[in-house]
Amino acid sequence: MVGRRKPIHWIAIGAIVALTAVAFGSWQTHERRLIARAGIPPVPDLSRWPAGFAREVQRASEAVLSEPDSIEPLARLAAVYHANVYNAEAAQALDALHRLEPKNPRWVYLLADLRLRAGESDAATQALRETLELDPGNLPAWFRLARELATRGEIDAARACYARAVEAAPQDVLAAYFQIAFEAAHGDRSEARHRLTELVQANPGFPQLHASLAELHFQSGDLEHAGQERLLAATTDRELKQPDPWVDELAGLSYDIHRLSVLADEAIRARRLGVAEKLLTRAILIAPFEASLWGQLESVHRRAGRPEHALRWSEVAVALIPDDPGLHAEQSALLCELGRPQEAIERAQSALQRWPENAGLHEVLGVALGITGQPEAAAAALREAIRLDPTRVDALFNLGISLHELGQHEAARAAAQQALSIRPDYLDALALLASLALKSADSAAAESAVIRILTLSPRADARGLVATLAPYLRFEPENADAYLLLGEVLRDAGRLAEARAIFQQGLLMSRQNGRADQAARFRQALERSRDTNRNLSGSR
Amino acid sequence: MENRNTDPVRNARASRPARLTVAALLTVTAFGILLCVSLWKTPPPPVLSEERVPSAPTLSYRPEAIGLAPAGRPIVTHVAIGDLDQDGLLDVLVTDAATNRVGWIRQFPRGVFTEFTIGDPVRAPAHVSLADVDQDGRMDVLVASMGVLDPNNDRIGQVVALENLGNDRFRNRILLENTARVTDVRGVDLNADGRTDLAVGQFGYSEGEIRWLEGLGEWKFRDHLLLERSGTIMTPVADYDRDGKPDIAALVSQEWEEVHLFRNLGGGEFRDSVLWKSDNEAWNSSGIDSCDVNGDTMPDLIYSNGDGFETGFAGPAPWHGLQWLENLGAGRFRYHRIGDMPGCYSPTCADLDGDGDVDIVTVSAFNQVNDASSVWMTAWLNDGRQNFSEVPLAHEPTRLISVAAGDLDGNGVPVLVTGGLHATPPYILMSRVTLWRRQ
Repeated sequence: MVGRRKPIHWIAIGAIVALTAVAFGSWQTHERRLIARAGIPPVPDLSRWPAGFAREVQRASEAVLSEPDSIEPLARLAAVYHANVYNAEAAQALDALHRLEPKNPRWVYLLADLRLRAGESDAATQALRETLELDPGNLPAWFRLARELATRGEIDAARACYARAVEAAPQDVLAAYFQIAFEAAHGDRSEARHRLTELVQANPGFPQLHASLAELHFQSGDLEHAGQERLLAATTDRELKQPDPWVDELAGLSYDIHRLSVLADEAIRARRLGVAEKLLTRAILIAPFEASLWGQLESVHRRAGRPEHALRWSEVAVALIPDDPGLHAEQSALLCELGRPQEAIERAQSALQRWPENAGLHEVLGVALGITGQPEAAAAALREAIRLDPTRVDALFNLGISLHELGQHEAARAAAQQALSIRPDYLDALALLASLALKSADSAAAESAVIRILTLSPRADARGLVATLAPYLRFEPENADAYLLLGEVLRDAGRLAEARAIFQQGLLMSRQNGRADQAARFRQALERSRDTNRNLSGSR
Repeated sequence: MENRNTDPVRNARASRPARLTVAALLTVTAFGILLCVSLWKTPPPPVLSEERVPSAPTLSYRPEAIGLAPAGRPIVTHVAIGDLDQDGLLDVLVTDAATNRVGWIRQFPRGVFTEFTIGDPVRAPAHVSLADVDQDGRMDVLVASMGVLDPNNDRIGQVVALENLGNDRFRNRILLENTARVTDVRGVDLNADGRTDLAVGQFGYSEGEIRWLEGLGEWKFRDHLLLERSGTIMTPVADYDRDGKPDIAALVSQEWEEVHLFRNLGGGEFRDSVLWKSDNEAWNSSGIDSCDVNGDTMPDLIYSNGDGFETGFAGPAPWHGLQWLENLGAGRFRYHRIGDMPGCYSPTCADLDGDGDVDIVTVSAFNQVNDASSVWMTAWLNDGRQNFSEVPLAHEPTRLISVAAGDLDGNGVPVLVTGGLHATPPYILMSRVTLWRRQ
């Protein structure tokens, strides 16, 4: 009988322990659900938002209640609020997520983002530090912490952050660049210049890096290398990515079309055209009748070298928003780009029936007419555009081209000069002015324009100059005099290398054209430029 | 046979499981109690729909739309109050960049406002002021023309005067052109020669200027450059150093974020100094005006920061708001922060609560349009010792970029006039020109 009592007791004890464990587990689950529920903020008045946003918030809030054991609904709710700048609501949800998953750096990092937005520097710094304790390899967190500390004047601490970022990702170009840029601003500039030179040599083709190096060279008085780096900055296009994935993905949940548009603009400037396309597509889905978004999307496709895609989108836009003259003008411009100027003319003329006072339509009509070899009609259309809107500097330039083709060189010069009075660094207008001056043997005007082109043009050498002038000054036998003059202008301005390059090209072309007389003149000019060089060398 | 009940060893063996059972039972009970407590403290289900009620202001204004009804989205850049026809009744002037026209909302008779478009079109007019430029006894209208509102470094700015020919007729005179985009122009005799000169602020974009145009008579002017710097928004003129000569203050934004003072030394000479500068390149300076905030007879500067044209207004920047620069004399000013306001624009002085001291009103051009609790006009009530209390005045209409205050009703109570600029979506709760009377 004693033996029979023992097992019963132990079974009872075991059952009780099991029940205790179950009770404890239930209690924990219950606590977690309480935390999750506490993370649901009261839904604010969303009556002014697109209906989709209100539905999204409602759905996410209900999902937290109906799926109490899953973290995803609360994460979604936090993201939706965060993306649409409901910072307090987002913070409430993120607080709960952080309590539920204290080891997940994402939640505390997003909280840091909110604190930074609110200007709560201490709280933001604390949150960033906590993120980095959980995730020491988080580069965006290191960068943001460093920037915040630098803003607060804590330079040594900021420096340490950049060092840790480089340590965490020694191959990361951005980390290295940020560290060097920081040192250039707060430390040893010559050392920064040296390190940046090495970085650029190891990683060429990033415009940002070349531009920064150009600036450092310039500040140290090394103008030659500064010029070289500026040229590279203008002629390279590798993207220096600055990913911040947890924040970047919020854009896809934004219902603020203006914000989406601005983010798209930033992405376009950073040459992240895929990102820009996604943002704009989302914005258009939210606000399909906002013409400016369609224009932006077309611009993305044009920059991506897909004008035919741009045209397709343009056709959709015009069908959806037929009353926006700007969309019609853009469509005509695209047709010109695609080599369909006759269609461009028809579209522009049709739109002008409705909007006869629209300067943009007149301008694109003028451009299209010019392409189809109708300079007189082109000039008339462009004059009308300028009459309606005198600030249309491109119309002024194109008018100059048409007048040049009509042989009205004085008027062409006046149009180019008017364009330059509005935009003094308008390279094409300068080139037109230079070619007109060269053709009319006006060496003073030619020198002024040519030197300005060389100063402004990223390809600041003879080849670049010729490339810039080529559309207006094709090397043909009848332009030989102009080319000779160009070379002489450069020689007199002390640009001997460029001058010789022009003369050599002239000599080559003359021989190819069988023009011995012109070849002789270029040969003589070459000799004179060599003599000039010898004289200058002798006088030093 | 032993008594099972008295054998201590047996009793001990028999009682151990019992003690364990009791302990386990107690543990379970404790957890059960805890669970019940947790359940008891369960908050009620969250309210999934709750209206956030904005706090009631202690000042309240009733809005009334005046002027022409907008054909499309209103893009008013500036409103000003002045008596253009000098009939003793204050009027409202408005620069409308949607139509590229200047509107004169004439008050006649009192309380009746009718808008007339005056002069020929002016491209992207940004600011309007009154001055008798040709000194014929009639007020002319000075207009700052940006050429285009969007960012643009082309030299498409103009200084335009609408010469008052009398009989409500006006003729455009271009006083300066092919210049960086112009954002402010004021007429005042700067060199004490009896002729009206012009103080000109030019935002440009990456290049801009501040200049004064010396009046030579017959609508001719001589150009004097004061500073080559991008980003000038406004150039309020007052005798800041109390030497009898008008000086020019200038708010310069872009990457500079500075307040300059060009002290008039006489004879056409000015000395430039920086009164205040923000370390924050994104400070977003938006507006400045002069008035004597503390009643010490020296003109102070009230200054807002809240521009969001280029940022897309990712969210309320925590540093947007209002401050004033207290004039301490001899060209010295002391900075005082008044308060925060997202998208803060157009600080304007007026005694709003009629207690004899200078209050300030501001509007917001950039804020959370979709958020019903966003405040678009705020009063900053002075307690007489330059401590300001923030009083929200309006949660709609949205996107107000300019406010002016004046005794339009002639009863000593300032009336407010606002202008709305709706150049970016969402386009809701729009307004063009609104008059606000205190209730």
